[in-house]
Amino acid sequence: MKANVASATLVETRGLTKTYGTFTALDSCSLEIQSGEVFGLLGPNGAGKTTLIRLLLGFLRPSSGAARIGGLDCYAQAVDVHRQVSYLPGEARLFRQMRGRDVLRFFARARRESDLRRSLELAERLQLDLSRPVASCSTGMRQKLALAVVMAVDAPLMILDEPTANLDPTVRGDVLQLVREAQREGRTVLFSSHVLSEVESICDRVGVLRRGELVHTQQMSELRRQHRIRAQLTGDFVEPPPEVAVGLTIDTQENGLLVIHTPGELSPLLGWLATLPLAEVTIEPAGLQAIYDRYHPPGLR
Amino acid sequence: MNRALWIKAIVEARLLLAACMLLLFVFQWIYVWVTSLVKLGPLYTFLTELPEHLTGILGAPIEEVATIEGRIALGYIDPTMVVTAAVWSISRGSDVVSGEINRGSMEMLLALPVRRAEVLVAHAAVTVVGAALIALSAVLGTAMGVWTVTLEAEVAAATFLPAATNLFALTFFVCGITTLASSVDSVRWRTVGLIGGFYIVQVIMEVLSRSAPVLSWLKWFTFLGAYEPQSIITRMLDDPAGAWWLAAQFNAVLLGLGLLGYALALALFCRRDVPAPL
Repeated sequence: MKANVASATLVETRGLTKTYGTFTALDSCSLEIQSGEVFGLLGPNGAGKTTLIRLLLGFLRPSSGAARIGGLDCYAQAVDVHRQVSYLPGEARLFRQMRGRDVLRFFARARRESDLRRSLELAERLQLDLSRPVASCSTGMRQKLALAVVMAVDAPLMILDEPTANLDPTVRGDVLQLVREAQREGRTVLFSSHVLSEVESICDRVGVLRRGELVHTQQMSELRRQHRIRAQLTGDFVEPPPEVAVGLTIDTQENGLLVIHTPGELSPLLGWLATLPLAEVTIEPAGLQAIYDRYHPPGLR
Repeated sequence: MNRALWIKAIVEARLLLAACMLLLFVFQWIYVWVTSLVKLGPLYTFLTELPEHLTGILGAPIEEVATIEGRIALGYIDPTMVVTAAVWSISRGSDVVSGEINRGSMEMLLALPVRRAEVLVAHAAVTVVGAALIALSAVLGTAMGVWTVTLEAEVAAATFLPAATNLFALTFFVCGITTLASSVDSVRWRTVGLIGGFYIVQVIMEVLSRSAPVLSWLKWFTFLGAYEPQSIITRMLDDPAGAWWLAAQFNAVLLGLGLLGYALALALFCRRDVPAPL
């Protein structure tokens, strides 16, 4: 069965829930990922990222709700779903008896959508020694080998679960570049990571998970327009005019510290800010860290 | 069927299979040679005087076991033979699901567009063919011994064929139940421990059922009650058709239970949650 990859929504979950006895690993997760989008999944360990990914891959049976990829049910039509997906696990463990080249050959043989020549090119780009048995490869080497497998698959959706874990900074850069290239080719990427800077640099949208719940989704283009202004008040605070005040979050503290979060463009604020008695003004992009900290405050994670 | 899965299963099995085949081939050959060196003579009288609960362990009347064929047949119940069959069955059976999950390689395997049933069937098919080759290598070892060693009487190598089918059926059964245990587990060594423990308990039950008449009922609760190559071989001497029929009955029990194990394993594996590797 062919999935309708031309539809706007490639991945869709509705009330997706997974429980183990009394423990809820994923709680009523409703999410849509559009074709061509790079979607980041954020959350600390145990937040439900891997459970969500495993439900999408049909490895787990949902306790309730449903997950669909390209209109296909992820559990009941797992084989057809897998034709649409190329998946890299958090810590890729490959067949230890095989050599690197045999691993690439195995996956190229195992699925029509895979291209051995592309795998070999990627392996060269990632500076892999394909003559070594997997058993004697380091964790990073195995991860790179798995990347060469996964990235060579011509599937509309790539699911990468912490793809840069165990990699050195140079190869991390290569991986992010490969994700960007995949996006340029029109592929959709679900990118789970703990590294906020990576997510920030490649994702179009992010979802934040907390204790199994999807608590926030954020368009990165909106986030990039948001700023945080910090300054010391040296006189009386003057309320912003109504046309400027929409969406502003203003926090004046007892020590005179003023913190303003802006929802969008900064330029309409500049006139009002110039009228305020301020010193030590700093303006910085809001950044993903601020969003993340809102749901996972430091010290409470 | 996915060709890559078959190649993978063969690549993974080949070393162990070659080792098991070589071991049983050489063992049976040597066993025939050692048998030729032992002259029963007065020992036969001594054996016939032993209490029934001791001779019962041999699994056939002493006068039949004392023949050259009967003594060679004992090689098929020698621990080397039974343990080799168990090593093949348990190592392969435990590998298919809990082994792959334990090693973490199930992740990328199941993310391929292949049915779970294909993963299990390709692995199981190679294991079963391997079990047949192991049984064949044992009987070839016996045949090689019979052809190359000077024995006190002429022995036909074909006498041992039904015993080899019984060895295959035993291996198939253990493969089936090990695959069943593996299909619901995520830790390979737990599967190995469980089936290894079960095997040992079954051996103890078999020995007790043979050596203590009061415990003879235990034979109905051990699969080794259907592994009687020595009885089959001694029956071959005077009733070949009856021997084949006896082998067929034993084999039907073992193959049937093994097949049930595989069927249940398939059903459970196709429905279970596949956990993240530890």
